[in-house]
Amino acid sequence: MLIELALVGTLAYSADKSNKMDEQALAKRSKAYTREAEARELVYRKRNAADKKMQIVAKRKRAVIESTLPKFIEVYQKIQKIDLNISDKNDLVVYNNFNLCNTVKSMETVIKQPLTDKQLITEVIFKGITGYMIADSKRNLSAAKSQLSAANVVYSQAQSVAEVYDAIIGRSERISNLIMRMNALFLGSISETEKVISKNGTDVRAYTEHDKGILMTCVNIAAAMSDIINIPVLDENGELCRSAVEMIQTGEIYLEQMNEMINQ
Amino acid sequence: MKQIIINEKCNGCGMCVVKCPNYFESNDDGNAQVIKGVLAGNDAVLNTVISECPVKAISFGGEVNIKQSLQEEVNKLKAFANGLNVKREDIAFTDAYCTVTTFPYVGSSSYEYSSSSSAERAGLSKFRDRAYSQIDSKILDVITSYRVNIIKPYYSTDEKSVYTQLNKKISDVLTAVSNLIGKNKLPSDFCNVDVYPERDTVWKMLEKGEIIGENFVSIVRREFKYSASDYQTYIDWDDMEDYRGKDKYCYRAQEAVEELRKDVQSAVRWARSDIEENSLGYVNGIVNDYNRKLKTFLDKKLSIIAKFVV
Ligand code: SF4
Repeated sequence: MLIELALVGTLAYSADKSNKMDEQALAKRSKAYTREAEARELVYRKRNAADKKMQIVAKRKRAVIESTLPKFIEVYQKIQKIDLNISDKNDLVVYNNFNLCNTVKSMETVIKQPLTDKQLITEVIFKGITGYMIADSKRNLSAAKSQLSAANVVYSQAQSVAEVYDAIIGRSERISNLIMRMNALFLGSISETEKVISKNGTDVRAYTEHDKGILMTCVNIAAAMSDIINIPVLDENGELCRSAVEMIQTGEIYLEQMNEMINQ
Repeated sequence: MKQIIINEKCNGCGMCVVKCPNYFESNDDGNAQVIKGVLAGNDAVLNTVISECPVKAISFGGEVNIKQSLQEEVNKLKAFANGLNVKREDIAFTDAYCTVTTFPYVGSSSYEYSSSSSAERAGLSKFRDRAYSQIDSKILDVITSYRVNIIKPYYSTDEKSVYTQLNKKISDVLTAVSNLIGKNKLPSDFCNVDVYPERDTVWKMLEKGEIIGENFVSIVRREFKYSASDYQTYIDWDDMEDYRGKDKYCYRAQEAVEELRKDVQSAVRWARSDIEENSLGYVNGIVNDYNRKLKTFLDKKLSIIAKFVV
């Protein structure tokens, strides 16, 4: 979009007087067109790469929502039948101040809302991120003295856009990796919980402190997971969400702690 | 040792990739795939992962004959030794590149001329200066677009480069070989493939647009037969009375510009075959150098592997 707009500017250059362009003029044009075509190609390539990475984030989220969370809810319904005293202290890493009912409710809501592909449309991103760049580009173009310098302006704008896409790619990879690792932890925990419940039944007295810990850990991970699922790559304006970075960091720290605890 | 199979039910949750990174990896779409050449022995973690896969997409295949598998991979490498074979259709100058965009705007004048003929003459002069003079530039624009999008993969080393892509495929086969033989028995850089052609003069001229650029303008020009005055018939005029009751005339050149655009576009289409043929010549020069280097590279790898395929 930006590139297209910027290129309009390059058309405004005065025409040569001769019918056939002399060699020198042609060579200059050639450089300018190369720059412009490369700018378009760069943006196209980065846009596709960012789109792909965002699709993977959506795929991971969908996988958790459609496959892992239903398993958890099934297990959670069994946990509810056991009169666990939640205030029992375990060596758990407590993720926020979770509320069991709210966590499950929020996950049930997420399950009912299918993820739309809207969030994958990176065109939307552009409107938000590059609005100011377009204005800047136009200003620079009007100051450019030749088609080649105009093409260079277009190219440097394309590089700025590519940097934005790189940031989206980096963010998407980080979120996607976090979801993937959390999900692995979650699935393992659900499976452990199922084993403990099928061994002990619904009588709380049959549960050792260690067994209770396994059940609580599972619920705890579910709470963290529901937060991670809600981390956006971009906000509604298409901007990289600052608060999301904190959420990612919290998630990553939590994951580290859980892994350490499990490996102890 | 058994084959590991992932079916199409995989939803890309990534659990197996996290828990068994020696067996699984994510593909470009985010789904899990078995690392090339990796086989299943008796592994408790792998068994757990298979049972925990939320959609039960992972299973064991049949027993694998390692010797036979290794031979299959060797055959693939031998086929790669033929290198790249660039055909005309690979570098086709398709319709997408034949589109000539609008010429600089030459619209209508104001009612400032005293006769229809003087208005027409002025229109033609404007048409010549603003539009007709831009023919070479327009031709160059489409050729450049073609070069950057279709030919560039043959003179670049980034991820879109044809060499990078073939190197990646070869590296995958070498990874499979290394997993079948055992990584520790092979050099640490065994799977790296970093073969590229020489950045010779042709390569550098392609980068600068000196070839498949300026030099091709004349190819299209040969197909363009019209002089600026041939467009006179498309330059229209109009008249109106001014406040003194005198007739005043203006020109309208839009139709002439549009005709010119269409004619240049047709010339580009006619020149397609020559453009492709000439481009193929340049591309093959570079590709042949790559193929020579690739052959030497693969011969070395095959001689290493030969020690293990008895
Ligand atoms: S665990 Fe199953 S669903 Fe998840 S990525 Fe692996 S194969 Fe796919």
